[in-house]
Amino acid sequence: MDTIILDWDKLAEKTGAEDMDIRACGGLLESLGFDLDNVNITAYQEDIEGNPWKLAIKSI
Amino acid sequence: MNEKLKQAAEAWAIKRDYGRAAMLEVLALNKEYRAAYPKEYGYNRAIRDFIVARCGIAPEYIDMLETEIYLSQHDIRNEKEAANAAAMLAAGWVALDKPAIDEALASGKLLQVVGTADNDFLTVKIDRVYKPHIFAKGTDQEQYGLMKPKARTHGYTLHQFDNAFCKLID
Repeated sequence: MDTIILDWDKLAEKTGAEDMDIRACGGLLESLGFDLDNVNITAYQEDIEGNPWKLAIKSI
Repeated sequence: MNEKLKQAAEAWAIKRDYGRAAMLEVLALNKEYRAAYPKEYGYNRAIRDFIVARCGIAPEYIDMLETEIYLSQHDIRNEKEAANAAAMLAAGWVALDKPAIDEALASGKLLQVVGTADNDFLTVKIDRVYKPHIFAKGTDQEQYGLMKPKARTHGYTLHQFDNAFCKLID
């Protein structure tokens, strides 16, 4: 898998975490086939205050 | 620019219209930033700093500028999606919708699908072959969808696909 978009809000809602760290998603990303040493994470969409709520995860 | 932002801020105070297009000047500067820094991701904050440096925005209008940048990001995304749709249609693809699935079912063919599929918190790009299917056909739960070619029970409903295009294949 080379690119996925994570909806941070929905993911936090599912896990019940208020302030979730992307590092907490390591297991999820690995299970999706990503090598954690070779991923590039950028904001895919930001909310009006500039907080990323969708993240693009790409293999590099 | 300051005068236009002032007018926009006054209008925003009356009605926060998140569906409207951004100020054309901000949209143009957003594109200018992206053209100047093609390898950078166009973060709202970076675009704000670019515009502030370029136009000398008064501090009292920075909030409104940030709102306009937020709106312009949507405009750019919509423009990209429209351009992609036009290119796909020109290349002979058709939009993935109910008529396309009906046609595939009637012809007994599979569908090559390109687009994105939304699975709750995860959106993935897809370029796969699917079998057209109508779940719970003839009931009030009827849903158009797609299944992997060898699947018998599970599949994807049509609404999970976004900006998706398809081609009939044998």
